[in-house]
Amino acid sequence: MDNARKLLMIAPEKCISCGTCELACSLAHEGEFRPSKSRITVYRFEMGVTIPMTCFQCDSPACVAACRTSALVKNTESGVVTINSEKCIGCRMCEMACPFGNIAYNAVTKTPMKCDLCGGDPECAKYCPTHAIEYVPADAAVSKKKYEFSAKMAAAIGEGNK
Amino acid sequence: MTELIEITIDGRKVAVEKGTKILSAAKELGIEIPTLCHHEALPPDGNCRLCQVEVVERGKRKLAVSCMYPVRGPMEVFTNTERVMDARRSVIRLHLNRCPQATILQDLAREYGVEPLDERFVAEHDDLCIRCGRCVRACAALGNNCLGFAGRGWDRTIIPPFDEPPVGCLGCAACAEVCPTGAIKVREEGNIREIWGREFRLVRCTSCGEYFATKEQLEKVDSCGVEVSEICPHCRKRDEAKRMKIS
Repeated sequence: MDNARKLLMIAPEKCISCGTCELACSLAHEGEFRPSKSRITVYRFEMGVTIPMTCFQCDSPACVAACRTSALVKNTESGVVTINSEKCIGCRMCEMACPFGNIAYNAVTKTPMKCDLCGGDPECAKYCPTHAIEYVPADAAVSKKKYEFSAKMAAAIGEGNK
Repeated sequence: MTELIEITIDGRKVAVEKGTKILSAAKELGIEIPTLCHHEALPPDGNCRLCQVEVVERGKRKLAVSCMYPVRGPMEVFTNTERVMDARRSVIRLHLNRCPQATILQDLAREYGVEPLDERFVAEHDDLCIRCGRCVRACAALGNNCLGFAGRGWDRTIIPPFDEPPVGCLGCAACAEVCPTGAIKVREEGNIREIWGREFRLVRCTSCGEYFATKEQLEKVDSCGVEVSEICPHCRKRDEAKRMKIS
């Protein structure tokens, strides 16, 4: 794996709500096609509006702050919040702490389920047919987001000036 | 720099830091040693005695509990000699005598070919607790210290202080999660969760109305410097998606 920090960039406007990411994720992590065991969830709102949601790999993660056994660790190099399931004692503090509900506890396997970016090769991005989920270097992702946001703002201002 | 010591386990060499436990050193080589009371997140306690191995050190040959025994100097370790197997078999037999219903022990007995117990010695009760103390250590790791050992010998048990419903308990059930035999029972019905004789009234999600956690659990998360809401994780995720939709 290269050293450049990479992250998942999700573009909801490109999402066609097919749910392939959920299937790819649950297959890779649990060995079965089961969206409820997926680390990414596609929220389907009114027609045409869908948002895939997964862990943001926060800079100061609430789950890590709540974990008493260091089973959850923020990897400073890759930026990923990783789980060592052998160190989990099943207290579910991480689940309660995450402000975005992006960790769920799996009582069968006795380990929390959260996105681990598949160790650097995320299945969801690989199989997304419309590139709504992309795995890109952090710099490119950030600048692209900034560009899109400023374009949006420019358009809004332009509209206001009319 | 920490001192590295080379030891031999089952004929294979591995260099480990001084003080490393034999169990961890074996794990580095991919050699599996069976355990019951060991948990990666918790300090070793050497209660179950299942992880015994044979150690040859300074000319002496002895059995040692691998989860507790530190590497202090050159040594040779054997994990599958007849003496080790004998020790493990007798440990399994003793545990099985205490908890004949525990499936994990029944599986171990089958694996190690432990003879069925003489019916005169089989306990006539449905005790599942092998007194390994994982629950005690898990609760301590959370900083609650609600459980401890009481009594000696056959009467040794694990109880909350004064065997009363524990005051400091969060109702998180981590003790039940780490229990290797499923001895700790958690009952959840409607808005009530019961554990260790204490009833917890569950907090209702302000969004969907599902009962999802105890008040004490949320307070504990709050004490870690994390702001918590009374919205369940499912609704939090959906709400966040909604916010992204708007922005």
